Amino acid sequence: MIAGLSDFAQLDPASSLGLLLLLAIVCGELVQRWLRLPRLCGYVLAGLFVGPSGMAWLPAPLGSDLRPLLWLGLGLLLFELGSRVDLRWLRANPPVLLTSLTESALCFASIYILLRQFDFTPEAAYAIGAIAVATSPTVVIAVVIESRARGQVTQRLQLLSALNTLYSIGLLMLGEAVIESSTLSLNRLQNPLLLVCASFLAACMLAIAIGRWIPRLLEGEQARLLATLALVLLTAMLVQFYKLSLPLVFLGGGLLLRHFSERLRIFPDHFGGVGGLAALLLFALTGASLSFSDLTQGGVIALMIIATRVIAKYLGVICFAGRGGLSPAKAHCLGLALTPMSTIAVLQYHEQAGRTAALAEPMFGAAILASVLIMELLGPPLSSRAIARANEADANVGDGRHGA
Amino acid sequence: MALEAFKSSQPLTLGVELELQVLDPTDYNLAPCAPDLIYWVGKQSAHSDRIVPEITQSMIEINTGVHSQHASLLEELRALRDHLHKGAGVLNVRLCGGGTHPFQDWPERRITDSPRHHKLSELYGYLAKQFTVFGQHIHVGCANGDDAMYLLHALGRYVPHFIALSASSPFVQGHDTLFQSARLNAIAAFPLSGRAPLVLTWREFEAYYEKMTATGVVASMKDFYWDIRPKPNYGTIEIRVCDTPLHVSHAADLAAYAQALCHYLLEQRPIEPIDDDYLVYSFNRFQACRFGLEGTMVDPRSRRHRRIADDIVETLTTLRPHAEAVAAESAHQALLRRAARGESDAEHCRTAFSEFRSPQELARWQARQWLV
Repeated sequence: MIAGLSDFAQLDPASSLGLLLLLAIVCGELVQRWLRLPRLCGYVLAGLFVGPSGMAWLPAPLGSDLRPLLWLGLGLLLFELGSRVDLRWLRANPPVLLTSLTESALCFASIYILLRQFDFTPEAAYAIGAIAVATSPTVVIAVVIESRARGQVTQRLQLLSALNTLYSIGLLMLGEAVIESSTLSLNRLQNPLLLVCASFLAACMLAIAIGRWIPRLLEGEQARLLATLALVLLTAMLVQFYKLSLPLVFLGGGLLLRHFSERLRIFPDHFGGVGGLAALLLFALTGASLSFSDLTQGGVIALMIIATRVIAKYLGVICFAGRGGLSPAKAHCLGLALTPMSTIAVLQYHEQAGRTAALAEPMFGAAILASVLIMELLGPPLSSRAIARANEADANVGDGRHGA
Repeated sequence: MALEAFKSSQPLTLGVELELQVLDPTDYNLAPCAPDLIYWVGKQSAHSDRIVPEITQSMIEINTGVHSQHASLLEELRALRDHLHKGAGVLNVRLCGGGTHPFQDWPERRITDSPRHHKLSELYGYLAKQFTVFGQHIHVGCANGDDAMYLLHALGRYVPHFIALSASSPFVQGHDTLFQSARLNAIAAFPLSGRAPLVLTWREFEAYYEKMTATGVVASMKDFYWDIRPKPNYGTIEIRVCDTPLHVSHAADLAAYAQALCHYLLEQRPIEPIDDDYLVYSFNRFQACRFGLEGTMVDPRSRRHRRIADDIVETLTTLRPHAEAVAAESAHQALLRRAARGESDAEHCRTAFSEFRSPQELARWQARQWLV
């Protein structure tokens, strides 16, 4: 029967996708019910099963038919996270900005030093350090929405994740500028700068379109929601076509929307259920693009990277937590909640590896992908537990009520 | 169990307790951040004994000290409001007044983590979470328990005034309840709500209290959820029917009204309370909650029906010399203006809602109003 299914799955991407989604949903529910883990862990496991390490129903670099779905999912979740983060808070509470800079700096520096000890090239160590700075924004938003979390740890987690994702992107772009030469020259900086400006522009346009044009032109929540989704898909395709930075455009777009929009609730929480589908697609497809062979190659390094990262981020948060108004108990929770590492990392890896020859060494890929694989499964439960320990999860979630 | 002795306090002094809403600026729903705010307040040197938690984690209460005049009370309320505003900025939450939150869902509320609140939650079930309503309690100092009991019953006639003047809770769960003060409906469900028995001396009240505790129905004064309640350990009577107004200035004005009223009642003793006065109590109270200033109140003695706003205007006119005596002229003027125009916070909320057509925008508007 499995052989028959394999044949069916390899017919075309749509059939394998359908199988994957069904499997992912079932896995998600089982994982939530039996293991009390966030559903997205189940999605990742389903993806692993269907991907190259498992049944190999989906091709290892995802086909061009399926990648738009990945981008749509990514775009929606990133945009939603951005729209929940108010950068003005940094002005009212400067220690939070200090926390953000400290945890990212500590993370980057400690990983760079660690990897240099293991004879990684400076470029590879830099790139991995930069990628590791980001706390997966997609995992954060998925976990926050699923546990219906509200409170100080939740707010700070979202803010720190948005910020450190931006730092990560910035570091990688800066790195690109110096990668081929040992000095920073204006010429080298041009390409990344152009990319940033163009992405920022696209982010602005997205924010204006969703924040202003859609509410003005369309009445009714349904119409607005559909228009927003269509716009996100279109933007995602354009971003890939013009090779802009997808995280920058969507995260930035969300942040800008929040910063400048006067009216609230332009789109419902999690895009009214479509966000759930986005998360499903994103994590299942991410799982399908990971492979256990990365573990065997880079597993040990990955574990060290993960351990260093957890400690660095934890310490970074503890430093200024008190001055930022966070109680010690909640600070501990926040430190652990920052651990997820995910799809963005994979995306960044593919982009970096594609762009710079110096990173073509296999250990680079293995280390990153192994870290992501482990953290895709360990990160979400840690974040979810941390939020629950901080008493910020909705106690009613999971009792079968609507939306739970 | 015996009731504690009534502490004699300076007559006609004022104290105010205000319950405030803690909002999440992402969507202006209630945020369970009162414990974090209290933690922050505790770390500052100022006001830490004045800010306390309430039954659910999205409610925070400010308590003023004892004031003999409206002006200093208003000053302290403003200072407390501004102090909390700073903390709210640090924690990225917002605060506002209003008797109910326009669209919160009671199952989402979280009980404050303290033994007393957990006990209340266990005892009262969903009523505890539904009690996420925000009110103003006005304390008026009394020289002795007998004065307190007299005021308690004499003020009963004016309860509709306080309800109508403070009403600021027209929206519940995202919908217009058509009430001016829907908040009081949440209190009515408690078994010991309503009013105190008609006893006019502290001695008789002590006897009543002993009977209630002997039956085991009551363990302390806190178990009575009456509209007006004596508080022997403060030496005050407590008026508990007001919604938290949208602005602190109105809260101070309402307290000054209570002060002037008590001054008038104690000085002139215009009525001696009798049981028949309570024939119309529930009706008048309902009218005030439902229709506010436009409601009808019945005088139990003359059997006359009149519009609550008109009754308030007439009372305020009578109170003018008493308001002057307690230095509350500006409050007196402000209330007179409101009553004459039929203005209420509930109507302001409705107007704002009709403009925004969104309960979230209404909550956001309330948060901005709070800082005015």
